[in-house]
Amino acid sequence: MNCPYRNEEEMDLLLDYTAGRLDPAGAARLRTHAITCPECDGFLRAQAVVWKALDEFTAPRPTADFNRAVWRKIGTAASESWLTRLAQICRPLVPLTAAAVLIAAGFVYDHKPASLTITVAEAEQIQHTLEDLQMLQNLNVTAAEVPEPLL
Amino acid sequence: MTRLSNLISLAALAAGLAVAQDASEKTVPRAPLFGGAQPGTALVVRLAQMTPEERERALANLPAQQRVRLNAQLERFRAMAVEDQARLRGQAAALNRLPPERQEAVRQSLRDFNVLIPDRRRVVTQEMRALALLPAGERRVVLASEEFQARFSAPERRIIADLAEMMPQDSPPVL
Repeated sequence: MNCPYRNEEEMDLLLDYTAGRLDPAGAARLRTHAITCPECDGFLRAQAVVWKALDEFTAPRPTADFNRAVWRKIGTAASESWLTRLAQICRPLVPLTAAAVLIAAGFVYDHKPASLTITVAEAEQIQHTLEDLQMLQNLNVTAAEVPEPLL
Repeated sequence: MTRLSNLISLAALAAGLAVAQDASEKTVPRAPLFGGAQPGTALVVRLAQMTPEERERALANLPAQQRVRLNAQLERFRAMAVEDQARLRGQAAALNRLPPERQEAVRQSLRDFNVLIPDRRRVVTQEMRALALLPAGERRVVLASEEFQARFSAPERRIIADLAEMMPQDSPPVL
């Protein structure tokens, strides 16, 4: 018999044996092999411990409102997970959004046209400029627009 | 990934703060907005582009009479065609680039030109337009010529010499 512990294709023999699914002849062959194979022997012993523990385990009886409590918890968990997922998605966006808002605010504030209040001194400067413009405008009239002399 | 986005956010935040800080620093000391540094033409253009309400607020500190006069002049400027406004701004800029003494000389010539009798104004205008098309060297030759001296009086020659360079280069042909 090939060692099922070292042969992956025959590993199922070990599991079937511990689960009691192996036929008597196959079980006898494996027991014989395990006498001379420390790996298989160790595996079977460990599995025997697990199965024994499972056999000895007695599940407690559920309380009367067990189902209701389970469904209540499922409902709460479902809603929490949705919020949690959303929070996880949004978390990196929060500082980015805050920074973008701050930059936008700074830009708007920076480019906001300053309210202009003309002082008397500035008004004089404007007055001079307007006079210059007026005089220069007279240079720009076409020759045809220069009034004909009165004869 | 989260750490990278946090770093980017911090950098962006710092940039935003810097921009906001910069803006606030700019606005605190309100130096005289046009205290000689800004050309008067920019002021005129800005005021002309304002709505009547904005302009009223801007001129609120001025005496009523001055306010009315400025408003009327600004409205006339505003009513001009855009090309005419641009041409005038160019001429005003050229005038402002001259040394102060030369500016005054040109202004005086402008005033003298405006009080010429109409037929002399017509002749002087035509001469200035013709001279404006010439290179500076050729212009000087014409101005020094006997024919030119014979056609124009001394004040007219001064006006022509001063203002020829201020003439718009896109003038229509002399009629």
